[in-house]
Amino acid sequence: MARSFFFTQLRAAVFRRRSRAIAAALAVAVGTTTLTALTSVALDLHDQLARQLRAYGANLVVTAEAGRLDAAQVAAADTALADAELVGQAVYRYENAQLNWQPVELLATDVTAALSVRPYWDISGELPGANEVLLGRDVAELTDTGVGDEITLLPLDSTALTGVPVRVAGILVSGGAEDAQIVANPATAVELFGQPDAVDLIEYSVVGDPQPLARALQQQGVQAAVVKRLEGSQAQVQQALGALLWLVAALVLTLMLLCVATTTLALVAQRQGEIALRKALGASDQAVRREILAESVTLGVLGGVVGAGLGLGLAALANQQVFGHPLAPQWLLLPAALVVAAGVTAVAAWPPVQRARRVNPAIVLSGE
Amino acid sequence: MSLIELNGVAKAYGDLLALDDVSLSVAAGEWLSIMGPSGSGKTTLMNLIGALDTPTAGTVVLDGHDLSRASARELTQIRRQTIGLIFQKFHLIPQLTAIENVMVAQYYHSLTDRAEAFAALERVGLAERADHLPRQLSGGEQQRVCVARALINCPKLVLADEPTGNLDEENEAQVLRLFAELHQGGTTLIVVTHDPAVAALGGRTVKLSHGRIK
Ligand SMILES: Nc1ncnc2c1ncn2[C@@H]1O[C@H](COP(=O)(O)OP(=O)(O)O)[C@@H](O)[C@H]1O
Ligand SMILES: [Mg+2]
Repeated sequence: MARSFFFTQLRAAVFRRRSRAIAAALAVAVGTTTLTALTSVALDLHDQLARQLRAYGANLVVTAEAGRLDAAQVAAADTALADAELVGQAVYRYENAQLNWQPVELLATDVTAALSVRPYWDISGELPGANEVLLGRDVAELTDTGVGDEITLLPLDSTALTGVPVRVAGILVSGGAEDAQIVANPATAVELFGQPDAVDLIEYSVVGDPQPLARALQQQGVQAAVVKRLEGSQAQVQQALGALLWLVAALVLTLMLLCVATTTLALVAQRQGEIALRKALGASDQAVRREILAESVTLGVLGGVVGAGLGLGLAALANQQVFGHPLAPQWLLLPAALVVAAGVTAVAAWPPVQRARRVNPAIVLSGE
Repeated sequence: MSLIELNGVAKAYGDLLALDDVSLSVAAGEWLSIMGPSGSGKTTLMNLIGALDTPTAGTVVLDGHDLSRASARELTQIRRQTIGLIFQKFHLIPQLTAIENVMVAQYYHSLTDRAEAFAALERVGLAERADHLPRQLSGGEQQRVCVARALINCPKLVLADEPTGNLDEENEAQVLRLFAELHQGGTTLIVVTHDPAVAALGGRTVKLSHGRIK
């Protein structure tokens, strides 16, 4: 009975004094939103940066001045790089195809080789075997095609009614041009377009400085571009960004603490009369403390629930905007945020509790 | 036997002597009226008798307890057990309904009992207002809730500081009728008032002037 009246009073304080309660809960909500968002971005920073920086997997890119690489140029490249230490190497061929009467770019390559220079390729499904392809995410969405579906490919300029049937082995997400392409095996490209030796692009991932190799290749009329890698600075960038995020998080936590403390203090100051009355009616200091703590922690948890939810959403949105890659929600942050919100309000309620302890019950009679 | 014994009581607020050498004895079951001009120390006296404050000098004995020597915790205990308070400004808790305001007194005293709280509201004629918030009640109705709250724990002593100062005639009559009932039931009443007609209802009137009993 006594216990239930405690909650009756708590409910009344929170829901019948809504405008004041909202002010306190809002401070917590804003703080928790920022904290959750920052933490969830900070926790994912390593993966995101790695994903971004690995985009420069290849550091030497060979193309023709115009049109395709001819056999001599490919041979020259092979010779020039014969002694180089390679982490990866892939040969690509671009073709214009049609799928469902829509033009689509076809990228023919050995996917396993491509992955050695484009490690950021994110494939859901399997690597394509014979008569199988990968669909770029945008193509898959546009044509409403998924893993396991059969599609029919034709050269863009073909007017034939029957094309080459292939099976979709997986969906490819790269964050780049591949999202709008179909990735096929070289054999499939030959079946569609002929020209078994056609090469548009070779990518190498060379250990060490690719600059001398590039120069050697250029002398043979091959366009060889060096891609600067950022790997070395990744750790530093990540460290700096991470430290910054944690710093801001600590700052926000402090601000939230001050904000909640001020709000609760104002709440108690406004209710000095009420507190004096309760004491006059026989409330002990512990009873008053319990009521104030319960009220502010309740407001803290309410604000925390709202804030944590908003924070996760905000982080996902920010991540999508900045990295173009969705952030998997870190559900563990929800209970963590709640604990922080409850903890912050409990700590912030300390000065008001002290102040309430000093309230003299005699003022209820003398009043105003 | 006297319920209250004040002996040479003084209360100073800094340099200001609000009460000066006050001695007073109130018998159990007595209805005592206290009069005096504003600032004469009436409320200060009520605070001391009501265990809300302690004297600077002298002794206050209430129901066998020496309040001047009691700790804050003991004072709380005595207030809870012995005293019902009625205020000029009602002092209801704004976010609680009429019945909940009555139950607050039960809550700090012992256990809440909704039926009993409702009966107290019935007694002051507010049964149908039980679930209204204070701001939905008139001044007279709020004062009657305050009376119901004061009598819910059946205190030995009811202290009322200008209880009818803010009421119209009809509500004043109603509150005074409740006082008469309490008095008949054996409750000791101390009522501070400016109104000689109200004071006349008590068995005895004490007049204060500049912190002294005249
Ligand atoms: N808490 C206080 N601090 C300082 N002075 C006070 C306090 N309470 C009362 N006083 C002073 O003590 C005197 C008596 O006050 P009070 O007992 O409230 O008078 P009454 O109730 O008769 O109007 C007044 O001069 C008042 O200003
Ligand atoms: Mg007064």
